[in-house]
Amino acid sequence: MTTRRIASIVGVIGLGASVLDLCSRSVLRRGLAGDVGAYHAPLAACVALLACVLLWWTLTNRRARVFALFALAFAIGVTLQLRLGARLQSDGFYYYAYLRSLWFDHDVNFLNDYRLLGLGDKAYLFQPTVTGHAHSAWTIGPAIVWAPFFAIGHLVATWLSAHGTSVATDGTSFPYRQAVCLAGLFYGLLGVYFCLRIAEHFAARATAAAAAVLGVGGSFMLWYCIREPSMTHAPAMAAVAAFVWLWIATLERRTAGQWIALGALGGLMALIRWQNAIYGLLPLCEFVVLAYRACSARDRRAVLRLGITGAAGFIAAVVVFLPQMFAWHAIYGTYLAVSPLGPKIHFRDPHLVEVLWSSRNGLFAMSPVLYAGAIGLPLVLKRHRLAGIAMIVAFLAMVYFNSILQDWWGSEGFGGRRFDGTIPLLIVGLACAIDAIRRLIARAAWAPSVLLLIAAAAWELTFQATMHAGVAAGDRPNDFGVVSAAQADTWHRWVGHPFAYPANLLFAAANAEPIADYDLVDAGSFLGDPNQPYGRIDVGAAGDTVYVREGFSDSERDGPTTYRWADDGAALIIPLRRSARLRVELRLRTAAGADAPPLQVTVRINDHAFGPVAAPVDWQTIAFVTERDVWRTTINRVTFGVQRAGEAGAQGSVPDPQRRVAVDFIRVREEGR
Amino acid sequence: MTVVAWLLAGAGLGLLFRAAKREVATGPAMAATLALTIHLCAVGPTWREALGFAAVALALERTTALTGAARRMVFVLAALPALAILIVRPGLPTIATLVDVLFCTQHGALATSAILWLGALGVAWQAIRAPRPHAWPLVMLGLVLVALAAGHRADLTWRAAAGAFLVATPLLGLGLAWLLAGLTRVSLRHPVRAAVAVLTPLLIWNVTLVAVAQAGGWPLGDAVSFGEIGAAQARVLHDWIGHPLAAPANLVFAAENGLAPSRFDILGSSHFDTTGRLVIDLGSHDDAFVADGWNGAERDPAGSFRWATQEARLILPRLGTGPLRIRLRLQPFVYPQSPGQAVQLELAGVPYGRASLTPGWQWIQFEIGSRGQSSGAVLLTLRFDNAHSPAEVGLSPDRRTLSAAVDAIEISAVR
Repeated sequence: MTTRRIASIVGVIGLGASVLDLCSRSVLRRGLAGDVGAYHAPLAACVALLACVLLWWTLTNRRARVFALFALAFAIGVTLQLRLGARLQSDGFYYYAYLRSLWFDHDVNFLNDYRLLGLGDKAYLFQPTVTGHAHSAWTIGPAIVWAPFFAIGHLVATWLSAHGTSVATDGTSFPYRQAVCLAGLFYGLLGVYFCLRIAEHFAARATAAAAAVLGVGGSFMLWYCIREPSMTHAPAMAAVAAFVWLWIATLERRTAGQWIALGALGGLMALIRWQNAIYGLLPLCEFVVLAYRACSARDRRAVLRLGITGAAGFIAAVVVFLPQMFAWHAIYGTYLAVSPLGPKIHFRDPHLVEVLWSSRNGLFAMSPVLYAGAIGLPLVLKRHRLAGIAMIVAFLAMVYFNSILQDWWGSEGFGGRRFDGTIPLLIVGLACAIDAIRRLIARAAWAPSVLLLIAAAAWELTFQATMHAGVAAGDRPNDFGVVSAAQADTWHRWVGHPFAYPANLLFAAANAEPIADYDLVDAGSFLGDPNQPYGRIDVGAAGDTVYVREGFSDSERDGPTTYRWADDGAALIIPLRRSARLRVELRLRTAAGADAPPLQVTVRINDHAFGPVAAPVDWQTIAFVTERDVWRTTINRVTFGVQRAGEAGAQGSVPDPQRRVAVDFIRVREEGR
Repeated sequence: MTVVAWLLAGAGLGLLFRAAKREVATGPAMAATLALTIHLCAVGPTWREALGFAAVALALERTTALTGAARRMVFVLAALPALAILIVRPGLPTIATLVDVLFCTQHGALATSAILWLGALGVAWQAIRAPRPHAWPLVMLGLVLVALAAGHRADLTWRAAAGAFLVATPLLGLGLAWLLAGLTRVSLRHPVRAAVAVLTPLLIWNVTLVAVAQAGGWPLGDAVSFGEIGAAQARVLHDWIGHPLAAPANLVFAAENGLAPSRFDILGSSHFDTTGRLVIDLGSHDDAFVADGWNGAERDPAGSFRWATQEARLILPRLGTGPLRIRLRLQPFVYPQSPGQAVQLELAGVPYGRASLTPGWQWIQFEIGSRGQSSGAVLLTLRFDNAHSPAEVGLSPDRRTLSAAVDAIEISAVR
């Protein structure tokens, strides 16, 4: 036996043992050799790394090398899951309820499952549907793809229980839940593999590999693989990636069997996340083009063949999607149902800019590497026109769809999580972008070094700014954790968030507001949600600095009331997503006990004045109605004029402590709603 | 900057550009000169400092114009001032002083300037890549450093240190030009790697964002200020890898002391030998010093403090070997029928006395005699007689183990 062969066997054993040990730590809560100190899990990852390096040098087969790399990635992923405390959480419970219910109860009535999983306090789940079931707005697909891992969890739980460990074997204990977390990581990596295979159709192997790593490691998908793997995003991305890979691999030359396989994958991806059906646009675009070509050539046989194979693919998709339809039928009594618990869809109220650039989980703002992918997407057109058009159409359709959801920001998610299916497309774009940068560098090789120099100069300038601000000091050692934080903040004040360009640039130009304010002001705009036709600025409360401008004193408290004193000319801003006829309510008071004539307050909204009204001595809410033309979309400036009765107002004059009103809140509400 | 200083600095930059252009191409030379201009503007040199800068730039310009023996002659001539300083101030500086000159986070030339750090990297890179023709700037830089270290004081402010370091700056300017030219060559050879390197910061950005979210940096789903998030990301990155511009000194420090590289910022640059005094305000900017055995920072009207558990440790910078006086302001955790409290102090594992505590805030003092040489950070341990949680003794539901609240620690050299 050669040394090389021995080394590869050692590598395989090392890698396999460390992966098994880490999985055991997750599902059994103990390593294969028991617990050997706190560093054992990272130690196992290190063994996996060494074994992988060994295999990389000893193996010559590319597939084996790639497999070793993915095994290493899995080992590192499990280590990170253990470190970050990945567990069943958030929406994961609802997908998991399907699995537990199907496995143990053989039904989709989650009345008992929700309670067993600790969701008993969520009354809205238990309002009986027409069939007397508990509600579910979630899909059955994740449960199906998690099932093999759940089965292992069941074996582990049964074994532990039989050996005296107090572990429930009813699908609720940790072996089941952690097995699902491993499943999330597994499918995430499977998705990366398919992304790699897709990108290889458009770029060299190294470029494709780099794009896949950057696209997944640089996006929200990293979070959903290692921190919240029980969400559906990793399996959803994997299913879409498999679908796109098969579509690309058989583009324009698909056999009937391949159409059926593609349809089945399409059904699977919709089964996991039903909005993934939008990626059906990819073969649909191809179908239209092929049909047009065949019709133009008057090739009736080709038209017929295309129609039959396309229909077979569609039927395969429907067949695979049947489990969801049966589930809907059982829960809601119809084969196609929309749960009342799901987010509302407002087709005529898209948040296109916000869903991409908002600081509230905007896709590009929170995952900048995907911005590069989106920029690279049009470059796909050069490689394959049809594929490029279809990908751009599918991506734009998903942007539109996510922008019309009631909670376009994806609720309490990390980044633009609902764009999970676009990751394979954006990785193709990223591969094309890397290739474009490569060509650029080949022409202008100095560009990376100049970029480095610009970064160094920016560091120097921001360091000087922190020196001037007194954060960094020249007469004592500096903690660069603090200094670099101040530098990052300074840079942001100067240039805003670069990955929110051009939205924040346009915001700053249109409203004459600092570019850095875009993050919070724009995301905090009122009337953006059709279900919330109101907005409230709690003056004095934490976070009011987003709205409060000049002329206000520091925050104060009067019992439960937080407030600020407003001088004559004090101003705040009210950002609105759209103008409307609004009722304005102000809660305020003036300083008590003054012998002078009472204070009068005039509220000026943009160019329109309201009042004056007498400022009350005790807290009181004054209200008035404003017409639609008073308001502007985006920033509205509200100024307080405070005068004594009988004296001429002098707005913007030097603050006078005798002419101040305390403001508790300002509330706007759409009239008639 | 005065007009004279501007003129001298401008002349120096012009000479530097000529020298760099001779060594590399016009582009990198121009870029390096522009970058150095930013650094010069930040320092704002006096005319004397600018004169030193221009003089070395002139020497550099002449040296690069020559070849063979003539170049060696100029090199020797240029080295003479450094040797002269060494003669005036006899004795070679210690490694610690050299580290202080370059990497101290108060006045270290490289630790406080990304441009100079890259320049130094360029000088070293070129010397390794082509030692025979290009090692001379590294040697010159070494000589200037030795000269600067000979006159170095640990209490020097950043401004004064940066001004003094200007004499070495033209050499780093040349290094910067070399680095840019070298990176350009590498980019040309490996354009895919270069393209990936350009995009890699976006991956790091995301990884740090995950870490910030994991630490509860913002409620998921809420709007965030990317200024605040960016600041948190910068802190996370610093916690992981330390201050990049203090490398390699912080990495060596970390390996020597078994601490995170980020601790180097405060603990690595010990000025205790010069100042003879160190004050740690517990609960406020104490992250660099606090090790295990402490509860979270707290604040009351009198100031900030931390509750210690039964055994609490602090990491201190190098304290020299002379006798010390250590004073602590603290108050014991007291409850009905609480036993008397006392604390024993250990420095580097050696016990140095014990003090009984009375209820309420108080100062206690320990006298420490001369000790053996220690090369790195020192562990100070406070060992209390007893510690209980308020829940244990029926005071409140608080389950933290408390022995005493410590407000401040003052360490001074006894001269």
